[in-house]
Amino acid sequence: MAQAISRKFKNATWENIETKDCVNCDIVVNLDNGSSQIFSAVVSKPAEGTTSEDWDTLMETIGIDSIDQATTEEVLRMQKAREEDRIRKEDASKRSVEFQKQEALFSYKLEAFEIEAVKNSKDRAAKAMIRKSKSIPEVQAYTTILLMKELNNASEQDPSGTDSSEITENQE
Amino acid sequence: MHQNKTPQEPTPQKSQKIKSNGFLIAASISKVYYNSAINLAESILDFYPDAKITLCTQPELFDERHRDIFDVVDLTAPDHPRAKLYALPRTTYDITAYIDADCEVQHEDITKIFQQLGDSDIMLTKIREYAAADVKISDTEELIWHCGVFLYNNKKKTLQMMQDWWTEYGYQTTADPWPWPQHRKAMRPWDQYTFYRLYTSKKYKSIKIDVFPGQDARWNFISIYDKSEALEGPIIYHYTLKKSEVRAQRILKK
Repeated sequence: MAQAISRKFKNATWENIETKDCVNCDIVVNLDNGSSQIFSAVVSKPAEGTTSEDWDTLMETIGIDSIDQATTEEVLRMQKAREEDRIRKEDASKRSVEFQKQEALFSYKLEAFEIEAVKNSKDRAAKAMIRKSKSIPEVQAYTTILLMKELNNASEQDPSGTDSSEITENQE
Repeated sequence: MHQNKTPQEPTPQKSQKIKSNGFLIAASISKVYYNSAINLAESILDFYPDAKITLCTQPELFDERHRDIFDVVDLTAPDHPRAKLYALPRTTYDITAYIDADCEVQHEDITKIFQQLGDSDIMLTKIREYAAADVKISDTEELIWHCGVFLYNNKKKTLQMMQDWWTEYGYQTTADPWPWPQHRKAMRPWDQYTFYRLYTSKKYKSIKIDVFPGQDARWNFISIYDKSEALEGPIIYHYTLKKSEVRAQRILKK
């Protein structure tokens, strides 16, 4: 089994930069077979009248100023990551709202085009207005306009209000 | 009664006269796709009144009232969710703009679509990972091309690739055991994966594939995309029809 031959502290930051009584760090342990292992560790400041070899090594090899700087950088990095995550979630949420809105609008438009009178209409311009609508009320409005036009056209062609097929039958 | 076609059957209609450039829409299996295809065709004509459009659909879906919209109505589509692959090699145009049925044209720049192809053989838009379901082919490979809207020319090799796309897709969805162990089996249902296999194959090494120039998302703007992807506005807007509605209006139920 491989034996530890040396160890080194890395990535040391204060647990609390105000109290500076605890350090989060990685300990890289080099083994006699040439490999190394990395452990995450928390090293606490020893109580009055006691000593800690890890604490002393940390202070000697890295030092308070470097740990201060690394802690500040880590706090800034985490703040930036949180902000980026917040923006990403906000964007995804906005996209999702827009997605739902557009899908509902599209579905509504297709339904409008399923109305027989709309389907039969040759009024391309009015149909295009329905298609280009940006909201459901707009679809409703243009569909109503098209239906009214179709009704008007029908009554102009047949002022008596009777169906042409009925007239044919009566005449017969 | 219309007979379903196996992926091996269809062949390009060589006998038909070539007639410049045009759009191709395929609608199969459900009335929802058909209705959406009609809306798409009419939306093309809203901005491009002279456009030639081919509809490939099933006779059970086709409504004669819509015949005037189209340059060609091909009623031989199989009852297959990827009938688009069947339709692709049958094009009668020099340059074909294939558009998924659940799209809508929203911008006058649609009239510039055929100019985009240049000397490329196929032109597509790229998948956005944030809007994609599954792009990982393996640890090192990913699907790149979104195949919902694309242009292709009628060179022999290009049309052969389109034909193989249909044939190979049929094989991909049924082959057992999975013939490509280097790739995830989860790729089985994706026709984009079939396309990937084809354009990375030796056979189609000479096919020139490109992305639409500029903001490619304008040509295939999926409704979940960020608006910044199409600053001048989407030209083709790509919706997602609800599977429940597609099922509810399914024809020739199995």
